[in-house]
Amino acid sequence: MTALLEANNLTKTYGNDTVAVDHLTISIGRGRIIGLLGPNGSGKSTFIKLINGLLTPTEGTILINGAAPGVESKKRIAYLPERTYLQSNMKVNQLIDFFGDFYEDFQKDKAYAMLQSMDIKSNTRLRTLSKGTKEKVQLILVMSRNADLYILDEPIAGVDPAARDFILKTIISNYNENATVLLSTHLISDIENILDDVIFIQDGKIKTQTTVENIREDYGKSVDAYFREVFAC
Amino acid sequence: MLIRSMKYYWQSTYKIILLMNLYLLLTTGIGVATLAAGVWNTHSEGITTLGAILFILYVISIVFVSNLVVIYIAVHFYRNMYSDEAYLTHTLPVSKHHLLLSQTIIGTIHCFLTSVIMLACIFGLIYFLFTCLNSQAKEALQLTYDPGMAADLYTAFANGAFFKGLLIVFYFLLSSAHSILLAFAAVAMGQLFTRHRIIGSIICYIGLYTIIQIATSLVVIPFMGLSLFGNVSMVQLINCGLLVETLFALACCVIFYLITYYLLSRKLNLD
Repeated sequence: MTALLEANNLTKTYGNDTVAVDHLTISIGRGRIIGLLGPNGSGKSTFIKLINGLLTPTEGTILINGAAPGVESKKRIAYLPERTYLQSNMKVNQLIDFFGDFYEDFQKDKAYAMLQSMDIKSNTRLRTLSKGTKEKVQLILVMSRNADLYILDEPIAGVDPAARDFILKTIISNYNENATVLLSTHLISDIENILDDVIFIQDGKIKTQTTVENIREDYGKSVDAYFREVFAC
Repeated sequence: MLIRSMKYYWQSTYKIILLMNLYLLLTTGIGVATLAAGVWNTHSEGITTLGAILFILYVISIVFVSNLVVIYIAVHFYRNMYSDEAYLTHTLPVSKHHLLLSQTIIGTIHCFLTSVIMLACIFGLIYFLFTCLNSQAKEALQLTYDPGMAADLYTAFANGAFFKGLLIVFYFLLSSAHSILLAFAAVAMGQLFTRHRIIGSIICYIGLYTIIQIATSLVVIPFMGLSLFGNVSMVQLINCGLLVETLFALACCVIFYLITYYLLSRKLNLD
C-alpha cells in the first residue's frame, strides 16, 4: 500500500541563503492524527504549503496518493490555512454552496449541522463575524469534507481556551477515520491528547518522527515536556 | 470546473463593474438631457466655453472609467491569485488553465461591454450635440467635413461588410483580452520580486506596455510609409491594417497568457 504522503529530498530556499525546508524526506501513512511540531520559523508552514502546491519546491519531490500536487491531490486534501482565506463579502451559506460546487466530497448537511451546533447563522456575511467565529466557519468548511488528508495549520492559535476545546472536539469527531490529520501547532499541551504521532521539525529538517506512545514509554514524558527538552534554547 | 469558476468570478466582480457602467450611462444621460433642454443652445460665450470644458471632462472621465475596469480586474486577479484568497483559489481542484481562463474570459467580457457602452455613450452624445447645435456652429463644423475621405471609408467597409463587421468585433474583443492579459502578466511577473511585489507589478506593467507600444509602432510604420509614398489606396490600407492589427493583438494575447500561465503553474510562491 502506497503512503498517503511522501516527500523526497524536499527543499525550499528563499533567495540565496534562507533555507526554509532542507532536504526533507518523510513518509506519512493513513488513519493517523499527526502533530507537526516545531518552534516558530522551523519550516512547518512552508512544508504544508509545499504539500498544497502553494509553493514551488527548489529541489526534491512530494507525492500525495502517488501523484504530485495538482488537481487530483486537491480533491483529496482538505486544507485549513493559518489565515482567513474566504471572501469576506460572502454569506456563510454562499460559502457552503461554493465548497459544495467545487469539492465532490463536501457534505452540506454536515456543514449546516455543525453551524447549528456552534450557533452560527448561515445567512450572515463573513465580514460581520468575529475573528474566532470566522475561524470556526473555516474549520467547519474544511471538516465537512470527506478527504483523505486534512491539513490544519495552527487551527487553535488566536482563539480562547473554550473555543480551542470546541475546535479540537470538532476535528476528532468529524474526520474520516481512514484519513490522516496533519496538525501544525506550537500549543502542544492543548492537542497532545488527540495525537497518534508527532513530527518534530527544526531548521527545515525532520528531527524526530515517532508515536506519542513511544515518547511516553521511552522518555517517560509528555509530548509537551519532551518538546521543551528537545527545543530548549 | 471552468463554468463554475466563471460563475463565481462573475458573481464577485459584476456589481462594481455595473456601477462603473451606470456612471457612464448616467453622465451621458445628464449630457443628453441638458442638450435636449437647450441649455447649451445659446450665443453666450461663457456658457459655450463651460459646455466645451464639461464635454472634455466628460470624455476624460469615461476614458478613465474604462481604464478603471482593467485596473479593478487586475486588482481582483491579484487578490484571487496572490493574496490571502489565493490560499483557497490554489487549493480548489481546478487546473491552472481553468483558473486563468475563467478570469480572462470574464475580464474580457467586462472590458468589452464597458468599451461598447463607452463608445455608444460618446457617439450618442455627439449625435445629440449635432442635432442640438445652432446653425452657426453647424456651418463651422461643415468646414472640417471631407466628403472624399468619408466616401473612401464607406467603400472600405461596404465591400465585404459582414466579414469586416465580424473582424471589427473580433478585434475589439481581442483588444479587451489584450488589455486584461497584459495586466495579468504584469501582476504575475511582479510576484517574482522578493519584496515590494505590487510596485514590481506596476514596473512590469509599464515595461510591457512600453514594449507593446514600440512593437505596435514598428507594425504601423510600414503602413504609414505605404500611405504616404506607395501607390496603395485608402481602402486597401484600412483592410490590410485591420487584419494586421488583429493578428498582432492575437499574438500579444497568446504571449501574455502563456507568460501568466507559466508563472502561475511553475513559479507560484505565496507569502
